[in-house]
Amino acid sequence: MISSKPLAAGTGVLIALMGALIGGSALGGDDNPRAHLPAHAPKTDHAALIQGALENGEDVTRMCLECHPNASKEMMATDHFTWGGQPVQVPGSDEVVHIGKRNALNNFCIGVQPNMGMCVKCHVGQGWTDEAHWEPTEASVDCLVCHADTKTYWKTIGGWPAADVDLVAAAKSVGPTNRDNCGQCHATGGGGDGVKHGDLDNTLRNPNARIDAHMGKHGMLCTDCHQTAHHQIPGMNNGTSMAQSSHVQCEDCHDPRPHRDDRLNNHTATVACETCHIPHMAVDTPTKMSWDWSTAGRDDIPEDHYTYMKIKGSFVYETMAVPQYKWYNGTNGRHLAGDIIDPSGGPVQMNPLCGNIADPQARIWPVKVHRSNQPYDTVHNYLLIPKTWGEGGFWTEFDWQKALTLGELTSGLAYSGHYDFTWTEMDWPLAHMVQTEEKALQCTDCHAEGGRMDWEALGYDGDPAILGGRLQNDLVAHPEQLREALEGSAPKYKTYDDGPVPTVCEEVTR
Amino acid sequence: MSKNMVYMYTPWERIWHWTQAGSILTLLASGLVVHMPRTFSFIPFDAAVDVHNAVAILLLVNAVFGFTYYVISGSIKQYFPRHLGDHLRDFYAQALYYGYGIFMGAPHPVQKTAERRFNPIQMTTYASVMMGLLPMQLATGVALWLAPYFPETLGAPGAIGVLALLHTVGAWSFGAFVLGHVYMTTTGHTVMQNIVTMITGWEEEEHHDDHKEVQA
Amino acid sequence: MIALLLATGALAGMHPPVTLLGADWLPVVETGAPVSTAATCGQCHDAAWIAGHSYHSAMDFDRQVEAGTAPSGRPWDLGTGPGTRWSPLLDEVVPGMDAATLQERLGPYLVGGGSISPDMEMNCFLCHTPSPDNAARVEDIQGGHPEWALTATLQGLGLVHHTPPDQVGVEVTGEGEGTLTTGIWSYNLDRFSPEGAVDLQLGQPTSENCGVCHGTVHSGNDALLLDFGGRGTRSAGRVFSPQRIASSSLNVAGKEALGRAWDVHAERMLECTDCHYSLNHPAYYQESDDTRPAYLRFDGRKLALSDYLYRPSHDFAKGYSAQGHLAEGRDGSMRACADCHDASATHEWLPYADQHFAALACESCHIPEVYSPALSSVDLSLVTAAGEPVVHWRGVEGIPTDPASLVTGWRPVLLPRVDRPGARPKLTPHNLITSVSWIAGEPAKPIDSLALSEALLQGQGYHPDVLKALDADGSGSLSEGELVLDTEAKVSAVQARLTAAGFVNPTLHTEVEAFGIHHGVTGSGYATKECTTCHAEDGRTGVGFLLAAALPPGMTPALVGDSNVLLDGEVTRTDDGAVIYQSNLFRSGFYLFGQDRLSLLDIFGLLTVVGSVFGLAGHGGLRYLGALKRRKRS
Repeated sequence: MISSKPLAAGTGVLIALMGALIGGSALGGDDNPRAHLPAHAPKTDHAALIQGALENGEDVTRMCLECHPNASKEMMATDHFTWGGQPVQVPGSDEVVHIGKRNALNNFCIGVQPNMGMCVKCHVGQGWTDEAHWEPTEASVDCLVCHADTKTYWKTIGGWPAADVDLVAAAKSVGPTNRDNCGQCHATGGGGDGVKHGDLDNTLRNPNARIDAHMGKHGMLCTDCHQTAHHQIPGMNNGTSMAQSSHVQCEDCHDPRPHRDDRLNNHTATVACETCHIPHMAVDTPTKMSWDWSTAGRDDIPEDHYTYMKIKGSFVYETMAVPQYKWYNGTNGRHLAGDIIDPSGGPVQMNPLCGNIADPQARIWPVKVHRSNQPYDTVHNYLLIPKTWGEGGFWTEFDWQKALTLGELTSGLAYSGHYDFTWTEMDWPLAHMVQTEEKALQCTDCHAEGGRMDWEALGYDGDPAILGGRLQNDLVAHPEQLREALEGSAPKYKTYDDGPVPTVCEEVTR
Repeated sequence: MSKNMVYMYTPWERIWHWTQAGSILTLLASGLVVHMPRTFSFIPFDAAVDVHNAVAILLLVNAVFGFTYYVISGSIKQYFPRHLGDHLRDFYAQALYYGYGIFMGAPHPVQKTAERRFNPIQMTTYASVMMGLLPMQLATGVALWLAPYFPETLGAPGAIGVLALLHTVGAWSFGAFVLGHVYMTTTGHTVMQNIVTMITGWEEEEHHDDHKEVQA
Repeated sequence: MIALLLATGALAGMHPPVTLLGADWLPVVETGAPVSTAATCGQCHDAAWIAGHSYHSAMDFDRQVEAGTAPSGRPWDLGTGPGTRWSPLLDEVVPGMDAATLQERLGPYLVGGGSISPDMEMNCFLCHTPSPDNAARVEDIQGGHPEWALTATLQGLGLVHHTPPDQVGVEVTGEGEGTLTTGIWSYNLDRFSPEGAVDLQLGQPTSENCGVCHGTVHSGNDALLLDFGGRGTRSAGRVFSPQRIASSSLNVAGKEALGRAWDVHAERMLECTDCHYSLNHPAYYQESDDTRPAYLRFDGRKLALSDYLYRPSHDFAKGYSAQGHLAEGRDGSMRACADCHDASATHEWLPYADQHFAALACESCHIPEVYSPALSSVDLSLVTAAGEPVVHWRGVEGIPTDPASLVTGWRPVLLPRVDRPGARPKLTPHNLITSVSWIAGEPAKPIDSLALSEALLQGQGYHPDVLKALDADGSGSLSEGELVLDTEAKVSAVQARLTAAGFVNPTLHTEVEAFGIHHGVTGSGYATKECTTCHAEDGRTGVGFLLAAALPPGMTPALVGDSNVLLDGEVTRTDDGAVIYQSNLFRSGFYLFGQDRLSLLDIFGLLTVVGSVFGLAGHGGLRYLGALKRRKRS
């Protein structure tokens, strides 16, 4: 029968015509992700403000502090400066330690402590050459590395400005942090372009739409998502940090149910946006998928940047690599230096992602899993930190005994004199190189024979498209939380805001 | 020559007239866009459809209002002859005037008063437009609008084609009527006089002999 | 759970190993005989019942009619299905052929088990095993070994191999009691258990199984190749694949902008059998609204799963066919769009939604364009030097099978179609394929391309009489441009040649056939949303649809008589000889605002308005002159 729709529509247009023009800007409200972008501060031209000779990096910082008196205080409280982190509860002891880049183990270059001078080339300070003994002052902060034009400024051993840098020119170039500032360290982590993350490499310093939708298609900056206040940059790096309270997530700007199709929206409580919208990692630049230290030092293997280097060993690099998929609730476990390993028990999990099918806060994430074969002490059964860079280091002497013995001096981990290599794995959840709907995964990428998901490993009986998901199959604890997410509330990640963080995952069970 | 002012149209009648004039012109324009979208591609088709539908509602409401007003006020009698024989005679005289006398500067053959504002040709034309063409156009338009809800009857493929054709015929007829109507307004004492009257409501009454000028 | 497995095709891993039996019900690994499905599958399933309830076996051969009474109106048709109703797309199968020729020519398209080819048992393996070897099957059917066609199909699973020619027919005394005579195929015994059982990986037919005969089916990320051997792809550009066109390896014009999948249903993981299900499948079948009591939404009295597995109907749900009365009894048994989709929930933006739904099939907007070439005409008035009909394609620049050819895509023609008698016609996208052929003999029948080749070709080239008439540049061969009978003289020359070759009274016949387009559906993002796509002077239904680039002089193709499509527009010729179909939807009772108009009415209306303007201007002018004169006088 006659519905009221045409009448209502007609009346609406009538009203519009009679002069009461209904405001047409349906966009611009909360629906528009752009509304969540911070206003970019205009760049203040510092060229006229910088006067006089600048002898060294600390002089530059002192000059900055004249106008920005709180900057160093703020910086010195950040993980970027301390290379520390949240307090961590060491299992089996009352001891609380801060775990961060300065003392965490990874499965790339393994550890910074014996190699400080080299590693601090990517530190936002200057002069930190001995991990344990350093008393930084406000002048130790390096303002230029994040604020100068990267064409005018670069760092060398000890985190000092390189000898050929014109500090006056660099200081005159300062402005808000841009993609180059972030990229010079974060795109080359692990010792080269794209090595470490899989979703961060130098192509993102000036990307096109094919590489990344946000930065390429829409011209966004790192700081548009990692919205910084008082020099605290939110975000989450599972490689060095523990669980933090500063997750940057898609729902900060986007509707939790953003798709035209409810079928897709019903995924968002269980599948992270990144899973479909980052179909591949390392779009153009290869990323390192595995690293075998045990072959390092040999002369009989031909050198090739992507397969073998005498100083580092054998590698496997991949481009357009398909991620692995794991549950992730925003927290991760952490293998601490000195933790006992079982060399016969499969790869050591360095930073396993926490979460499982029962955990309503966990979603399926795309993960780069990096495998490494690295040295451990066969008597003490823990991973060792070799000295690789510098005098007596492996990169010059190619002598593991010497490198591991020297490593003991700074790491404090006793070395028995007996070493071997063992496989380890690190999880790197992917969050950059986001693709638009035209490139995102399709149903059949996961829900078809030979699809990407290993349903059984994720805890399902089989393909949930056919068998139903974790809600229908009563697999999730606190189903009401999932139902809330299905109704449109943004999923919340688990965080530890206060107090020590456990180094092992808190398992949620149904 | 003595002059006095006669109050010819009440405010309601004037509002009704100009609303009708405006909506018919808008409907003709938007209808033409819907009829030939590519020819008028600078106006979006869907906007033209929306405008056409909305203004049609306005016209419909106005028509209902007008009809009610005319009936209640008794003005509807203006559209009907009082005596058929007189009507036919005057009709002939008026036709003779438009066809010949007007060129010679002859006086209007039929006297115009507030009670009797239309000459027989006007009366016939307006009666057929207001009580024939307009209802037909409104009815076919409404039927086309309602067609989706009555797919078996109004919306049946044959029916909708017939409705659309009638509606098109009506549109062309309205186009011709509007042209003629606007032209005839210039046949008053002065070229602008009739339009001014329809705006102010007052007509300057001019006496020659015992006949009165008549407008279109 | 079993229902679920049935529904998902997970049965693929569930079917127990099968002992392959010959027609004598003895294990073939002991006798060396060809596999018989009546015996092998008949061990557990009612094979005879299945063959008797299978359109793929019957192909309407059970519904033959007297010559001259077929619904197509063609005097030579004897029925409604392939083999009894002639099609220029499979021209060599002429109704009324002897059984042997019919089996040789139609056999490749038959699954067996029907009355058409008694030598061919129903080939269960073709549809129920993951990688059937269709080429080997066809080779045996056409090579005179139809009894081995079933066995040959198993080569895809690696279960059989060709016996070396010198060992065929050798008698081998087996380890057991029997004596094994080696046939043209030998069994790979290492794949069988000692009892002769083997895991055939049997399961519900996948879309790929259907694609073996029906057209391009593709999954996964590897390169998509169009399969023009499949009738659906050839006639309608059908491609069933979840792959995005932009990611496809095909050379599609402007494909960067085509982020849509080839078919949204494939993208959403539907298989062919999800819509074309078995008509007694307990999970899928639902009685139609026509016969189901009005108070009953769901009838729980379904066939037990065990009964279904014993006697699964092999009549599959189908929609309505645009051409012919193909499998008429099953018409409309399939769930149509609206049986799964609630269009009203997603079309709030669409003005006059109900009117649009009543006038348009969903496909009209949701298949806005076809990005795979399809036939536009089949010209059997001549043959190519290779003895094949002269075909023309739409939607491609160049040869469609050449990967370098640019696929331009094509817009289907929207034709009013009456699926059910008495129903209101709905505009539905179609391809129109025009054909020209010679009809000869008593009773008159089309001359198929094989017979035509014999008459028109000689040795490696054309018959001199043909060359003389057609070889304009004297090159000794016929170029693409010369392969057309575009003058009376050329027609007469070929006619004379055919008469000389023994054909009685050969005359040219031309017709056009409509093929519905129901696959290649796209979702909201790429569907037609712009009003003026149709509602405009040059809207979709207003522009002509090319039927053929050239036709013999004086010929106008008519729609084959058994179509449910209304072809009530005009067939016209352009100056360069191309034949165009111009819709006239007004005749079928459609009126499209913005496009349909009676030009006569508009001209009349315009004349009235213009006439008024002139008349009034004249009247005004005379008034002005009169006033001038009076002023002068006074």
